[in-house]
Amino acid sequence: MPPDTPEPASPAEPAAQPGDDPKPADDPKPAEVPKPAEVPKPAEESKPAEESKPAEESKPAEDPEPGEESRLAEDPGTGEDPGTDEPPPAQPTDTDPSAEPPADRGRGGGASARARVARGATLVLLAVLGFATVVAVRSADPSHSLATASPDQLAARLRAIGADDRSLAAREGRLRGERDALASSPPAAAQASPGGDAVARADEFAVLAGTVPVDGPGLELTVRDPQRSVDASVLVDALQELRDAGAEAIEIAGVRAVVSTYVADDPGHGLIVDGMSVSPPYVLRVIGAAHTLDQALRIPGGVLDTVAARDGAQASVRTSDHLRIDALRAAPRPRYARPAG
Amino acid sequence: MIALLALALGVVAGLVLGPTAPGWLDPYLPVAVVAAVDAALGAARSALEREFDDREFIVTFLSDVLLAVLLVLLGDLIGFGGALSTAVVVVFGIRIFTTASALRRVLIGR
Repeated sequence: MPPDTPEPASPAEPAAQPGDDPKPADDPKPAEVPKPAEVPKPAEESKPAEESKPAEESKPAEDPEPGEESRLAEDPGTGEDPGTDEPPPAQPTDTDPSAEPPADRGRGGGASARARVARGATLVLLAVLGFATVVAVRSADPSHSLATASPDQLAARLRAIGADDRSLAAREGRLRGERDALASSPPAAAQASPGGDAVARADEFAVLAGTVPVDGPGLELTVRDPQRSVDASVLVDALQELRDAGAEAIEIAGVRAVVSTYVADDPGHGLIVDGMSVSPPYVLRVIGAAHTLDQALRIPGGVLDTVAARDGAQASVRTSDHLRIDALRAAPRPRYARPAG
Repeated sequence: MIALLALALGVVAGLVLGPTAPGWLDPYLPVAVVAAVDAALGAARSALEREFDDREFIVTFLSDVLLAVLLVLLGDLIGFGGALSTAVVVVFGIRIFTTASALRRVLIGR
C-alpha cells in the first residue's frame, strides 16, 4: 500500500521531492522515499535534521521501503514491519513539524501516519459495510416489512385489509342471520299460532297483496288529460318510477296496484287498469317516503316532464303526511305456483 | 486480506448484535448498502490494479453513500416515493456489474 498512499499525498507537495532526494547516500532506500515525501519545504529539510528525529519516523519508516510497500498494497499492518529500517529523512526540520500539522509534514512520518489513519478508516468503513449489509438484510425480513413500508404502501395495504374485513364482516352477518333464521324458525312457527311474528307477517303480506286498507305518508299525483293524449306507457312509467322510489302501496284511479297490475290503452275512452276502464283525470295515491317519491316524479325527463309534453295534459303532485288508500284486492289464489321446499 | 477480515468482522458483529435499524433509516439503508458495495468493489478492483488509495476510497465510499441517501431522501420529499431509490439501485447495480467485469479481466488476464 505505501506506494499508493504516497501518490495521493504527493500531488499536494510535489516540489519537495527533488530537494529531499539528496538523501540517497544515507539510506539504502532513500531514492524511493523521496517520491512519497511530501515535504512542503525542501529548503528547510536538512538531511541531518531528518535523521535527528528517527524516533518519530521509526513508524513511518515502514512506508519508505519499496519492497515492502509493494506487498503491502492491501495490508496496512504489514507496512509497519519495515519500520526497522533506518529512519528516513522524513522530517524536514524540527521546527517545522511542530508548526505544521502532522499531515503536511515530512513524507515519512506524516504520510505514513496519515496513511495508517486512512487505512484504518478504510477498514472501519468495510466493517460498517458488512454490518450495514446484515442490518439491511434483517430489515428486509418480511416480519420487518411493515415497519419498512412507505406510507403509500401501508395505506394500500390498509385499504386492502379494510376491504377484506368489510366483505368478511358482511358475509359473517349474512351467515349469522341465516343461522339464526334456521335455528329459530321451527320454534317461531310453533309460536306463530299465539300471534306475534305470524300476525306481523300476515299484515305485511296483506299490504303487499292489497287486501287491507292502508294509510301513511305519501303523495297524490293527479294527471289531467282532457285530450286523451296520455297513454298507458306514461302510467306504466309512473308506476315503475314510484316503485323504484320505494312506494309501498299504490292506487291508480281507484284500483289498488299490486304485483300483477297492468295498464293498457282504451282508445276513445282512456285507459284500462287491471281490467277496469278508467278515464281522466287519473289520480294516483301512493304511500311511501313522500319526499323521495316527489323527487322521483320531478326528475328531469321523468314522469312530470313526460306528462307535460303531451298535448293538453297536466300533472300535479300533492304530498301528505296522512294518506289513505281504501281500494282493495281479493287475495290472490295461485293455481299453479306452490311454495317450493 | 485485512480488508476481507474487516468486512467479515462487520458481518459477524451484525449477526451477533442482531440490531434492528431504526424506522427512519429503513428507506435509506438498502441504497446506502448498494452504494457501499459498489465502492468496495471498486476498491477491490483498484487494489488489484495496484492503484488503490485509501483516501480515494474513503471519499468515494462516503460521498457515494451520502449521495445515494440524499437522492432517496429527495425522492421522498418530492413525492417520487421509492422511484428514486429504484433509480439509485439500478445505477449502482450497473456500476457493480461493470466493476465486476473489470475485476474478472484483471484476475483472469494475469
